[in-house]
Amino acid sequence: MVTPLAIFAAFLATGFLLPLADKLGRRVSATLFWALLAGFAGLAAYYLASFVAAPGTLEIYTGGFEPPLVIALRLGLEESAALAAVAAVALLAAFSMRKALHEAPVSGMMTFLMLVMGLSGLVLTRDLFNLFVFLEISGIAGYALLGFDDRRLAMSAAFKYMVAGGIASAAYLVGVIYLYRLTGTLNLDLMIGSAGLEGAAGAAAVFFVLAALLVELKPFPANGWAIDAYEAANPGLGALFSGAQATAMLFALYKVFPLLSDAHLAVVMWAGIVTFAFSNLVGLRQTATRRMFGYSSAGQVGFVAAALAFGARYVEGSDFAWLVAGGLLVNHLLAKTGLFLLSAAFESDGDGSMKGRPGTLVAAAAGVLVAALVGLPPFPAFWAKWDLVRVALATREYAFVALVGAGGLFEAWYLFSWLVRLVKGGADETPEAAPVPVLRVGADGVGPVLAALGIAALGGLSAWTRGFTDPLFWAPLAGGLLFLALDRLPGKLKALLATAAIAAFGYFALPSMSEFQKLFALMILGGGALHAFAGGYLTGRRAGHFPLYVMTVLSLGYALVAESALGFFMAWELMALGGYFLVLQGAKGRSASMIYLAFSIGGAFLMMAGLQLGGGLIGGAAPSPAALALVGLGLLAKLGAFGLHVWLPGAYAEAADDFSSFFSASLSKVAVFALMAALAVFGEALPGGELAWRVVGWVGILGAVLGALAAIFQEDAKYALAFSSMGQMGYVLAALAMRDQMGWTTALYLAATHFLYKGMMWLSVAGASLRTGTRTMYLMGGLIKRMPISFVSFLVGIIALSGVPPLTGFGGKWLLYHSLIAKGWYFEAAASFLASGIAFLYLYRMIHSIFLGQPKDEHRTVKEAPFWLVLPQLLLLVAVIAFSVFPRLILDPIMAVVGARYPAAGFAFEGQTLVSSLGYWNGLLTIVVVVVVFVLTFIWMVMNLRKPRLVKQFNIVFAAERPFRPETTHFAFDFFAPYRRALGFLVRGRSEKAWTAVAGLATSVAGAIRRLYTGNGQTYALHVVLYVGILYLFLGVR
Amino acid sequence: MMKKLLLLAAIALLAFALWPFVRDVGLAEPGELATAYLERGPAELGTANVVTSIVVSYRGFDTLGEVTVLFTATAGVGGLLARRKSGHGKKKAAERGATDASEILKTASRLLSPLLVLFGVYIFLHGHLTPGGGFQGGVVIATAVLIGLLADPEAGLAHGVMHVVEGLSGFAYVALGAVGLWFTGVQAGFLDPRFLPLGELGRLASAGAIPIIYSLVGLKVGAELTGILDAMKEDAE
Amino acid sequence: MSDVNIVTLIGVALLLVGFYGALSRPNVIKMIVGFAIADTGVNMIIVAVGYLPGRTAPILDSAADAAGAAARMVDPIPQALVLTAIVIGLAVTALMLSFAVRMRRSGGGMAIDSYGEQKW
Repeated sequence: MVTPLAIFAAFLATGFLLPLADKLGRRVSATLFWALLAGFAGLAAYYLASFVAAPGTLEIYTGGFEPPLVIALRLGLEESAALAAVAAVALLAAFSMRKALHEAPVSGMMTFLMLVMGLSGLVLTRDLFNLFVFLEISGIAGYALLGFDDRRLAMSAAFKYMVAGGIASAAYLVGVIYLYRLTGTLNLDLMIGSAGLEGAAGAAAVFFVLAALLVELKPFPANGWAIDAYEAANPGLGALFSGAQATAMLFALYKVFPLLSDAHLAVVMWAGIVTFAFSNLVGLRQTATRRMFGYSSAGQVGFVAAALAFGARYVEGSDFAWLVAGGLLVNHLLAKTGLFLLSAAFESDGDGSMKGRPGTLVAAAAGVLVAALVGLPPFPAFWAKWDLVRVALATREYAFVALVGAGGLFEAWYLFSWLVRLVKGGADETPEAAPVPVLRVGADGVGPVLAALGIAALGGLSAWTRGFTDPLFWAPLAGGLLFLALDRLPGKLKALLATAAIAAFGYFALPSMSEFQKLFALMILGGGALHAFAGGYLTGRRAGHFPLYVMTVLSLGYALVAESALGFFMAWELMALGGYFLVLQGAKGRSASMIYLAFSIGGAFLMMAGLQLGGGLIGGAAPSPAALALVGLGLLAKLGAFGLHVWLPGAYAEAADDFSSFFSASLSKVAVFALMAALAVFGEALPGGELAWRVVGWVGILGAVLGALAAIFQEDAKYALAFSSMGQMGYVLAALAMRDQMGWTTALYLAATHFLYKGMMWLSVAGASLRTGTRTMYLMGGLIKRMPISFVSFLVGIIALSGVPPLTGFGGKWLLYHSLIAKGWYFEAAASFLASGIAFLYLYRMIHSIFLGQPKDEHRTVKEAPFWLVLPQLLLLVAVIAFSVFPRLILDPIMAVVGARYPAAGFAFEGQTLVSSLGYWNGLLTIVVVVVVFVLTFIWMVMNLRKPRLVKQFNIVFAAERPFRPETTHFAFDFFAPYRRALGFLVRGRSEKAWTAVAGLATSVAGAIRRLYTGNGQTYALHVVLYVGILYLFLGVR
Repeated sequence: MMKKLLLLAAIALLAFALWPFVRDVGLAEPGELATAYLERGPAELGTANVVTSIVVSYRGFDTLGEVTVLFTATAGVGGLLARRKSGHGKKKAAERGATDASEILKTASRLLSPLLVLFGVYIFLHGHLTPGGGFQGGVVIATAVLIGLLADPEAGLAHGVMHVVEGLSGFAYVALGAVGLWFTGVQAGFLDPRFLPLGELGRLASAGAIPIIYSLVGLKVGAELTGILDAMKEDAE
Repeated sequence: MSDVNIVTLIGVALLLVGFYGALSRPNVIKMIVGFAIADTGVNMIIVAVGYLPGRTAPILDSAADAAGAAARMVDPIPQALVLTAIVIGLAVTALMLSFAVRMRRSGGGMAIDSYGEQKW
């Protein structure tokens, strides 16, 4: 094996000769530079491959003698991995900086090489003083590279950086010389376990070394200088700092861990995690991209340091460091490098405005990088976070877990906001804003795409090594990738292919499913296939829609069959991510998608904590009220339960119409599934006992009432349907909260029928708004003649929803009232009765405003909705009718599922008649009675109808005045104004206000904290010194 | 005021943290490692100056790093201060309104400079025997240049020669280090000076390659410090 | 005060004085001077660690026999280390001064607080 000393020899020889080579021409020196970097990367890859194949370590000495006389280096698996990371980032960064490097004086390339060599030395050396030398080499090279950027900002940032670095160096030297004094050696391996480390002086000496390394890792709040440096640096250099330098520094920190006592490790752990949470909090207020990345980098590096220290304190062996800290680190360094390079390619300098938006491939890479950095699956940080939180909960470090969750949420918010600016081009979403042109970045796109590929490969590897070899597990990702590859095909073809893909998944997944899973598979996979087909209704390619859609549906499918909590959670997060991007693809989806994302990530983190608290494995866990409460909260957020619903209307309404339908009809059901499964796993006990369940019931009922009430005041058909969904899922939640045979039968029945009729209604509205070009109801009207099938579909839908006989909705209401009354929840029953009444109002308004009344002049020639929309509606229609006539078709499987958990009590079938203690219901009989009554009254009406007078549509005259806002004269505008006056106070968006206040609090705290970052280098230096002093107090040396 | 208080608090905290070291009054006997160096250095490497045996050989890797630090800093200083210069025409000292150096200074510098260079060379050549070595010698050489610059700021330095001296001496240093790899072995021999005979303790031509290495270091340091002085001088405007 | 190492005490004092200067003087050059003073303090601390009372410098002369050297000489390691530390300190100071020059030339003043454009 080539000795790693060759690295130093080669770098130094080349570095020393570079000025002479430059005299022969820039071509010569540049060739040397690139050859060296490439050779280094090749060597690092070779080392990594060798040590993966044959583990072991190579001890290297210098000067011809053995330690402790001479300086020793070590090369092993960990070192070679770190070297490979440094080399990869260095290559990518150099490639991004190639123009600047070639144009600057040759000392630019020289210092670049010295920086890379210094970082390699940090990784390899086993001597503490030698570590200092390499610290200084990389430090000085870093300052100099910053300064080569010929701008005043870069100069002052470099100076601030040097000041902080000077303080760290002094601390390091003092610490190291006393370590020598106390242990008699500078060799790290000989120092470990030395008696000299004990006592006050030993603890203080170790502390000074540690403090210097910590300061170099840019801890909050002593990191103003670093943030300024990130902002001022060339993005390539930013990548080098954030990726390569942080890797080497973390490695150096990891190296000295054996010297640290538990108190020292605790300091590292808390300093790191506080940095993660607070840097990201401050990042919320940031709009300048590179500064924002700076906050993110500081936070991520703190996170890795915290994970390292956590593992050293609580976990035996080095696997944890590898899997968790290593996973987080490689995730960070690749993602951040990619992001810095993207910012270099797409942003104008200084003001952060975008030069254009990326094409599909680069946009997908950007999405991968941001999702990875935030810790979403399937990327390495996701798996690492899962393990970290598990152990942290097991060791009762709850505050630690909370900081992990908070930091992740903040970071997700600002990084995804940036992503939105990037992929949508940074312009406002005002309708008149011109679409941003796609910017072809050519070679500059290579770096980010490579980083994204690397991170995806490593994420896949993480999953594979964790035993996820089930093809179904990989189906969502494979499906997404497949459709990304097929993205150039016509949309209609892709719709068919997507339908087939989802059906195929169902075909393979179904045999292993229980009845319970099959029931939900019907709603989710069946609905997924139907809506995939419906996706063909738009003309054109629908770039990017189908990859995300297939990935989302298949992850939902996998969530149903997942055998481990981790597998379920991964599918859950993937589904949330896919949903986010699908909402974002909506024309005005920006803010809606961000709110959805915040609730998804927050809810998912609660859920993860709950799953871990409950023991990890589905089916094998112990009952735990706390686990159920956390998982339940996460699920309620996804369900859009009252209070956690603020994301729901926007997300449902602003997504593409076919996805809105899937979102509401199918996707929302997975939360019901998971809630039921969670009860089976974690038991039914909640903290607070029965009262807590009563509260949950009321949350459901309030959702039903207020959702319906909000729906009646909407002008936008999709918002009305969205609020309606919220209300309907409220019933389901209330029924679930009863936890008995009647309640769960009701819940499942309501969920299944909601899937059917809401799908019809959304698709019908999708057709109408496609043909009319608007979603605003009073701008439609009279479509019954032009779109009769859509009308019938919508009509059946609202009858099924409203709960009037004869369709399925009647059965649902019948079940609901019976079970509520049987449970003794009388007030709840009364309130849900009220909600049903309110529902009539919006349903009437919708069908009336859209399909009845007079058609608009410009809509006289519209056609029926495309076949792609009509066919799914007809299928659903058939199902609704079938279930209405023969309720046992659906109720039998439901009652079988419920019967497995709750003994039959309350509901039972006698023939086709469902009997409860309070009465009975026969679907067929109901239909017959209703039809007979209808026919009789219709005949009576026709016979008694006076001859109606036909009136021309425009036979109205406004009284001499042109209306200022024409819509105010339309009867369908503000349709329920009287109710608004009476009941409007109930739906003034208190939840929205409350959450806005929470968000406002976070941003104002962030605003207050970032006042620390005054921009004054001296103040930053003061922060550093104070920080070191205060950490020393925390250490509590006596 | 607030800042003042915080500053005092920071300094006080630092003093508190450093206090354990002040209480430490040191050892009466050198430690094991120090004894090993004192006894083995002269025997194994043939150096009279034990510090030199540590600096050049035992911890030679540090010294190589140290040279690299200086090299990088020089490159940084040069890059920072040289760039703008090319854009602006250099003004003559007279145009800047500067007065000439006095005759005494000029004469003295002409007299002293060669002596200083000679002294510097002496220091690094005898680094293994007497106090001093490559760095000290290099600094003394640079002072010769400094005096010359003070006397005549317009005096052009031979940049080309400087670059060649700096680059080649650095390269030779690395190359000599690599020679040790063949001599002692690939995993330990980097910077081993024993491929040349150790000679007799106390003679100029002794201690293996140490005098050669230290001379190269001296040349390189001298050239680099000269480069820094030059860059800073030319920046004056 | 018998249990106090005087040289270390002076070194620590220099370190603190240097830091105080670097953190309180607004003038960039004076800040750099502060750091240089602190560096000197650190170097004194290093040398003090190697000092053994009553012993001589670790250099053999031709008259001395190598065998008894260890008994008469101070610890050579800190002396070797301080050499490296001094050179590195010099390099850092030179680079800092260059930055000061460039900052000044870019149109800022000599006061550190005139370079606070980047913040928050």
